[in-house]
Amino acid sequence: MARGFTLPEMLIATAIFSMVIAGILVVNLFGLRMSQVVQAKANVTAWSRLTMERLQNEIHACNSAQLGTVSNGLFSGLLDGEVQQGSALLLYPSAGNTNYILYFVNSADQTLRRATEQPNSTVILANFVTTSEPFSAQDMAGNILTNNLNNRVIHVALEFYQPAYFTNDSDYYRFETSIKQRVLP
Amino acid sequence: MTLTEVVVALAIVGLILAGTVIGYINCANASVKAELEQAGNAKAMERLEATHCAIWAPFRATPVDQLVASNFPDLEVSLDQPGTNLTGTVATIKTTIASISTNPPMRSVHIDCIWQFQGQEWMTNSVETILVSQQ
Repeated sequence: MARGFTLPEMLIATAIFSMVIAGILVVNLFGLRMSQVVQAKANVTAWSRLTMERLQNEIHACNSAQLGTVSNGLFSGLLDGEVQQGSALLLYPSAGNTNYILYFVNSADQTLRRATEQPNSTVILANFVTTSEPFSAQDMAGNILTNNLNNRVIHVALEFYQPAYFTNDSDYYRFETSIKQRVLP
Repeated sequence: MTLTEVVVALAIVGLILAGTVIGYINCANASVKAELEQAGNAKAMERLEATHCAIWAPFRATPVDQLVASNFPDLEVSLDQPGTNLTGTVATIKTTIASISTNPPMRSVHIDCIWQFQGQEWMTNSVETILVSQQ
């Protein structure tokens, strides 16, 4: 006659089974956390590539570019002689001031926005932007200019604050590039 | 069930769990690497765009040539913004300017952004363009 399991055997088997299940649970929770981290990074990478490509194309092809600030929805350009660094970048794709593309940081809600001359065209490109003046005009050595020299490069330096989420601490990220206007007036 | 069977079964389970964890970690590392590669490419492009600012006008009454290597020395930059739990990755940007042709005047500009991933693997993001002199 086959004998059954003893109580110690059952207890040990149950303990081992519990440890295996606990291990699988821990690994799955770890995987969930890693998945969230990877997804966030992948989204940021994809977004920044698309947005910067568009910004790059628009600066390359624009007829003229002007740096300035936006206050109460109105753009105010920097004058010749002022330090060419501001919260907004105004691009004119063609001659004349009818059509424009405006990139600006709205300090009230820390967003990077893009607007055109079309009504209700303002869109939020990024949140948690901590840089108040991300746009500047530089010479070839990286010095910020104080004039409207047309042979200049538009420098974009954006810093983002990543709030704490799940079990990750808060963090900062930086994206920086320079773009030279190709069509000079 | 013998002790040997139990030990072998536990070892198999351990291997499976370890493989799963390593897979997740590799996935996260690949994401960080992709992020740094993009930053490296952006930095290389940044320098390339800066070379477009250099005036190279050999046909002017007073010729100007700013498109020379001495105007673009090696530069150390950070590929990310170190925060509460990240260590910054430092990259070196090297610029090589070479003459392709004198008539018409053309030069190639080659930018290398060299950095090390997690202190092990050396990575290089390269961009290149050809510039023609200004009139």
